[in-house]
Amino acid sequence: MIFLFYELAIEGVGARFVELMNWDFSDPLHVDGAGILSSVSLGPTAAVPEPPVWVLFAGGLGVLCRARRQRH
Amino acid sequence: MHRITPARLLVMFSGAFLLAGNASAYVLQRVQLDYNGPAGATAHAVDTVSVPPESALHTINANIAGGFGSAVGSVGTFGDLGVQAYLHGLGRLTSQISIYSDEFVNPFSSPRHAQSRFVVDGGSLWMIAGNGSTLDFSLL
Repeated sequence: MIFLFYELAIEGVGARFVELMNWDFSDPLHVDGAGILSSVSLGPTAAVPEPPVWVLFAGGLGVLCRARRQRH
Repeated sequence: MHRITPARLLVMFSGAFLLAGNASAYVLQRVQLDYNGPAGATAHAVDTVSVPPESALHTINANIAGGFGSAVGSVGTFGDLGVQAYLHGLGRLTSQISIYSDEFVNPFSSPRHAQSRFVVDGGSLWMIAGNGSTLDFSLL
């Protein structure tokens, strides 16, 4: 389950005197467009960088050689 | 080797139903406008839609107006939102819109990156006021 939450909060406080204070965010008279809830999509996760195969192979071979040398 | 008998099948299916539980989603959209002025003047408006108990989302809208100014906020069916407010006098005017949804699930067997896009259709913040006046914006 995916929990999605977003919130917009704008607060104006007028102290002493207010000559002008107003705000707007998008258009409250036109909210029938494509919103966040209609465009949620799931994509592949970002690839985790891994060492190349030949590095892993060489490392394993080195460990084996070292173990064999210590045995003799 | 155990034989598959009708009684065993019944127990298996009953257990499966008990483990499955209910598949339900909850969506809440809310607009809240508040004004608190000097000498106890207040104005308050809230509009909310939530599924369930309602069967479907719909556009919600709240507005307040008075000598202090006015404010209007609305949310569309798909979470599109807008707000507009004017404060002409002293006091605290707050517009808050929140959306919560858990209706989306990841049907894949591996973790996925969830993303969404939205358009902010313009906006502005204007203030010419005395010392101690503030205008705070937060989108999270």
